[in-house]
Amino acid sequence: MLDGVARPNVPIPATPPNLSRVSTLSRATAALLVTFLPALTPLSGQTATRDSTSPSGTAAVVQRYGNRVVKIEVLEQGSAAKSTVGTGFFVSANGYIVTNYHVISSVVNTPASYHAVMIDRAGRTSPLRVLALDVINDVAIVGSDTRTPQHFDIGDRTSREAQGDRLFALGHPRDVGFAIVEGTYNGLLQHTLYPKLHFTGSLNPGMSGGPTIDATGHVVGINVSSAGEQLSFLVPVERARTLLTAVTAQGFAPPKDMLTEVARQLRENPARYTAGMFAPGSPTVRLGDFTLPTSPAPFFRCWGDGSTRRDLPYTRARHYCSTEDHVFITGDQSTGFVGIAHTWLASKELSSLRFYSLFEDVFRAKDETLWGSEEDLTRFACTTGNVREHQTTMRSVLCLRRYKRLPGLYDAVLKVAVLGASKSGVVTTMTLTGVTYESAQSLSHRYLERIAWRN
Amino acid sequence: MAQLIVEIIDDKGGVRSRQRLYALPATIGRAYTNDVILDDPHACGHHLSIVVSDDGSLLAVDANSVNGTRERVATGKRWAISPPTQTIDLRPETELLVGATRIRVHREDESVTPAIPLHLPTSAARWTRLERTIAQFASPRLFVALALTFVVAVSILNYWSNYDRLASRKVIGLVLLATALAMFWAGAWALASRLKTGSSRFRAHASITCALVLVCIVMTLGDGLLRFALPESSFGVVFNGLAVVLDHASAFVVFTAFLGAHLAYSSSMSVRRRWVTAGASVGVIMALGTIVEQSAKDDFSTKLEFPETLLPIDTRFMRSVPATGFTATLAGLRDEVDQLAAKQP
Repeated sequence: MLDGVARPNVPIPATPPNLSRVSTLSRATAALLVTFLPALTPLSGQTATRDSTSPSGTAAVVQRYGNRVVKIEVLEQGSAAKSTVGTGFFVSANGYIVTNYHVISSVVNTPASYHAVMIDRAGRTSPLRVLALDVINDVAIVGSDTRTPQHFDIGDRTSREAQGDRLFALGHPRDVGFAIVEGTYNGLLQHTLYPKLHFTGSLNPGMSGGPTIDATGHVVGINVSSAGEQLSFLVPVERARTLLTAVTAQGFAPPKDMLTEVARQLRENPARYTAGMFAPGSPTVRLGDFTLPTSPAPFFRCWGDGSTRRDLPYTRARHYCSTEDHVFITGDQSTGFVGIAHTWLASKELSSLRFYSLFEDVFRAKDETLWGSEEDLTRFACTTGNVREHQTTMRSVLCLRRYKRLPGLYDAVLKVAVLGASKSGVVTTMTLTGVTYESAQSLSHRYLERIAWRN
Repeated sequence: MAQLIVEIIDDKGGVRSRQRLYALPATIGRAYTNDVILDDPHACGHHLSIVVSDDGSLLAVDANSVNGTRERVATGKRWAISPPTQTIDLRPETELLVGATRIRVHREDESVTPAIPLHLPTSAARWTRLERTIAQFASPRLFVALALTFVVAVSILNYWSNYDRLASRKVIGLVLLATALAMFWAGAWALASRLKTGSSRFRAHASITCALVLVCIVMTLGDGLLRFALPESSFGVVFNGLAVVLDHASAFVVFTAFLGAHLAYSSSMSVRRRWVTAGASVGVIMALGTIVEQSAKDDFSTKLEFPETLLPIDTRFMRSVPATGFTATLAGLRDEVDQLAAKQP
């Protein structure tokens, strides 16, 4: 959900985001995010209403902490035109700034074409250089030439927020000017692979990378995304703290090639969450006479539907699970999505030859969920075979494509037709994005082993 | 005096007819009183006479005809026509233009060139058998049998591949469509036959079309069954290579055979020339197809297609491997996409 479409809180691109682009979103995630980019409503109106209860509170927060927040602009080298606008905030006296990785992703991916600058509240401009990044959690630390005593302290602290605590998000929504947005803390999201805080308050594009703080100036999280209607998300500040600790450590030197660092982080990432997936003893679901894997991990969501239409001589039921998190790489590419989908078909009425025509058509359905551009990806290469496990024969197709600029990362799709029954069958697909070759191989293997007919 | 032979020459320079003259002088013209009667509106009733001169040589003497008698003189590949001439000396190679008709006059004692030895191809017998088989396509009984089989096969196939309740109505529509397409194909060949040979031979072309469709159905089903039961990934490179060669060879033979059969009814080519033409056409089309396919192979696409055949056969007849064996093939895919990534920076 980190691409331009799904992630409402992306920094404002120079051109409007392409709304028609198909993303790797699961159906349900898409449904959750239908209200993309809420209408441009004046934020001051909202805050004014709420301020009636504490007229001085919000104003005091802005006065006290506003000058620790800066606007970040990513400029196209040739035209000097703004390609991205986001927010950042000072975390040290020597001018280190925390922001989102996705705000400065163009600088990381194509340093020859883009550079980033910050503009503070007084209007002073300073060039930025990327020091460290955490692509998985969407955090980056950039260095500026500004020396300022006005900075947030994101060091460890004992107090914890409670649900309902009032928080203030700071940033530059849609590049219309600096704004403060009041909202409430609603704790860590459940079912997410990467920790996210649930913030009830309107985050808009351009506020990405800005801090969300409490009334005493403690940073709680970093503005990262929104699903519209005040449903917004923050990266817990701990992720930035880890990065800052590394950057301020003795002998720190920023990685020579940031893209290599991105690739390294992406390669290491899947190992954390794929370890137990589809392992022996992992959950299965029964569709007719077929046993199939389900709920691969706690951060997956599963849905099912069935249909018995009277005008059709067959029954179809579906069961699918997917992660809701994506890792943003560039405006054109996101990764880290895992999904499985089963379609069960059965018929009493059709002869087996006619049933297999139906089965074949369902199997042949094109997969158009994986998009991407030629700059980032190769085409798919596929292999077909008959697999026999637990006395169950499966027609299996395995496809693989590679990330061109990020060595060692692949997208893999395994599509299987479970055979054996003459008038029922299952077509099942496992989709893995941004995994290593080893992960793709072991997950495919374990997935096939969890499928059985009449066992 | 030896008797004379008059040859009437056709447009391509071949002899259309020969006529013996029993006495001289002899007359040539359009009137029925002539010794040689011409069917040429440009010739006069009495156009010219062939006479023997005092010195014994042969002469063509024009009878004051409207269009005159001319000599057609060949020099190498080119030729020229003389102006109308009253008296023309006839030598063995002399060719006259009488109106619009070309004639030559030979003496019966003229010598002819020795015969050219004929080398019949050793496979002549096989060609003859093939030609006899092709001749069968014109038979009405075979046509009826093939047409019925075609309709039945297409119906069954369409019924199998439909899985909704309205199957029968849909099947009838599809069968009609398939029949119309086949008739269109046969009709196009019949038109070609009509233009080239003067006779359309529609029945023969329709029989050939039905037979071709039936052979293609059998081959496609067989191919699907083989691919389903014996997937490529479970065999080595040599076996798969042989399979590809066999696949292409069988397609080449089938299409060449049927194209040759169509040509047999729609051209006046010699047997050998016809089969060479058929083979070359099919070869060129298949080669072009392969080139287009190969050049598009590495084109970037995000589309994932699964063109698999699934059949309700007993899984014991299928060659299958354990999951480890199958996922091991992923290494080949990795090498392939790694190479692609390296090739396209």
